[in-house]
Amino acid sequence: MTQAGGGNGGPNGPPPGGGGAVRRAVRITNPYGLHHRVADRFARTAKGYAGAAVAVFNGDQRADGKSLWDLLGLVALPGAEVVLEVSGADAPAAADALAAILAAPGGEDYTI
Amino acid sequence: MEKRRGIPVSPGVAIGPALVLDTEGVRIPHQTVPPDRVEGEVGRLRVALDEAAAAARASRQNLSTRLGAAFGNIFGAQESLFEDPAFRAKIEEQLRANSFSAEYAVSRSIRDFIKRLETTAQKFGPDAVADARRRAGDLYDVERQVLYALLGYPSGSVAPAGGERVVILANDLMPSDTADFSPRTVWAFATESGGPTSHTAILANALEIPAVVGVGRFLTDVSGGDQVIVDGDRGLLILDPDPGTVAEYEERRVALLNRADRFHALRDKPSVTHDGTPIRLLGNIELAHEAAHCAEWGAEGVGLYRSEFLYLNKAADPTEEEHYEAYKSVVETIGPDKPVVIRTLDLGADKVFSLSALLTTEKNPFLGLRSVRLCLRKLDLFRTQLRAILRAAVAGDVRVMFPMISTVDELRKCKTLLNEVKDDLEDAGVPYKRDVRVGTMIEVPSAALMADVLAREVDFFSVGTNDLVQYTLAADRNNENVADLYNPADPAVLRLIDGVVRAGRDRGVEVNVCGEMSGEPLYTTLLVGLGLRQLSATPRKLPEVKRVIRHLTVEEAERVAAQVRRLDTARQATNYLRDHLRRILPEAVD
Repeated sequence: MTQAGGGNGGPNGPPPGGGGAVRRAVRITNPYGLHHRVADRFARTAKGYAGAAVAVFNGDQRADGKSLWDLLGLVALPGAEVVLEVSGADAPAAADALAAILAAPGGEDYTI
Repeated sequence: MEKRRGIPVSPGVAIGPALVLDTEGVRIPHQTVPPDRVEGEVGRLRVALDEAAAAARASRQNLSTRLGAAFGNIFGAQESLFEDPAFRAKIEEQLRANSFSAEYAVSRSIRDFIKRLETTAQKFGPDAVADARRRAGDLYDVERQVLYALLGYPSGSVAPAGGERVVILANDLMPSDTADFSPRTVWAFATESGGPTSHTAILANALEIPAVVGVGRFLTDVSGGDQVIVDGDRGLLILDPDPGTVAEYEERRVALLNRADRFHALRDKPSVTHDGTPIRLLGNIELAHEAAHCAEWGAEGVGLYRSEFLYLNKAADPTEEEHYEAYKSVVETIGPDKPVVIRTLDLGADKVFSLSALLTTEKNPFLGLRSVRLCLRKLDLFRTQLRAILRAAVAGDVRVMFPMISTVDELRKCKTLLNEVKDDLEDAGVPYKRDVRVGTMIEVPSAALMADVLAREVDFFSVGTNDLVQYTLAADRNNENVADLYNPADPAVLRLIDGVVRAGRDRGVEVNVCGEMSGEPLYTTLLVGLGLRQLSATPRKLPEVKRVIRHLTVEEAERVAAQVRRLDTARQATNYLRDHLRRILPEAVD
């Protein structure tokens, strides 16, 4: 699941065509919301699915699921319901893994 | 001019140039560069981000090896951010669009992002804002790491170099940061986060530096060198003050200095009530050199020497000699006949040092392995400290006190260990004091309720109201959402204190109160009325407490305590006490 640093820009665009996109609504239960470490785990996992495009929506805000910076900008707080959208290769498997990260109750009592 | 309200934690006022820590402690040399140097700046930026990522990776690996992956991953998120293409693209875009320097582009991008986080959070209410602020702290750290990579790492302490006295502004300060401050270099400080009884606040008080904490976001609105005012009496931070305000504060500063002189005049007057009952006033200290403050403010000894600072800022645990030297110097300053109560290691979740990362693995550190519980698990650490205390006791009236005792078993274990240590010293022929007086803190409700049983085991009690209040009301004193529950005058707390005083009286055990409560003139009458004859507080607070004592009769204090005991709520009790104090000493209120 770890991915070498640079150059993942290409396949990271908007989901192609809409066909085959998997959408999931997930409630954030981590007491600190989608904080740095959870977001980081999410982005790293998402990057592991090189052929999939991942987006997360909080209300009308959209984040590229492979960018920690974007995810933090969602300000997804405890109790927020976010929508996960995955398309491309391995979309169902990626959606399962990523939804599990978002829904995990956490338990780490520190942010970064 | 802009006034921001925070929590006043250390009195006094100060006017001076701001030193903004965390970020502008690193000075940004140029905002913009000539257009032909833009690509060069992009290059510098990329190298710096790579370097910051490498440093975070090294920290992650180092911590993972020492403490496990869960801790290492704390830096994993930083590492990811430095490598994040969206993050990098954002900064480069800013840099190119405005011909910013690499440093300024980083700073601007992160601060814009923080502003956006906070604006978004405001739509979701106060919890969201608190959450965004916590994240902002993390992001300031990210900014600082990149700026360090661009400009070089600062060495050593955060205390300002050079002769200029400054007002320190920061998101938050680590206790070990403030330990380096001195009134000679720092006029005051103000922080965005932090609560009224955080360790930093206690220390600011001990160092006698005016301070305001919990101001909320302001670092984005101030730059290093700006003139600012910190009003530690009213809890105000004033940015960009107008000339009238500066003049007004200059006047107040001089007036306060005069009042300090007047308090010094009280120093040599005895601490007795109007009808002649002595109330012993002792000082709380954190650092050995503060023992001098005790004498300066008229304390009759040290009622609480918080020994944690020996453990802070250290790459290793302090040695027995380090303990001994510190204790000995306090005894020498105080004199051989005056008590020096040394509290053994009382590390809590809010008291940061090298072990703190270990402690936060617990889901609920305030109810976890801390303080004496930690000592009873790390016996070597505990023994080292006890040996030093027993040895230092030869020179004066040193007493040992165990913190956070919650059962009589724990207290007995501590005493057993103390006796073992005495035997070791005896066998080794090392000079020590065998009949050192032993006491326990009463700061857990279970201990207060069992005070009659604990009284059989010790020579004295010291009621630690900070923790007792928070454990009794199950309210974290640093959590602004529940801080209103935290009130020393809450009837539940007063019943516990009352029970402890009675248990002590029945068993001939001395009772002292050493929390913040005992330094507040508002509670002095009540405490005397409840039967306390000894109070321990930050030395600087003592003159005002003494002034109340000298205006009181015991009979009147008892009447006040009886009246307060009949009240149902903390608010009623506080109002009643305030009205009473206003009647007997109007100038002590406000």
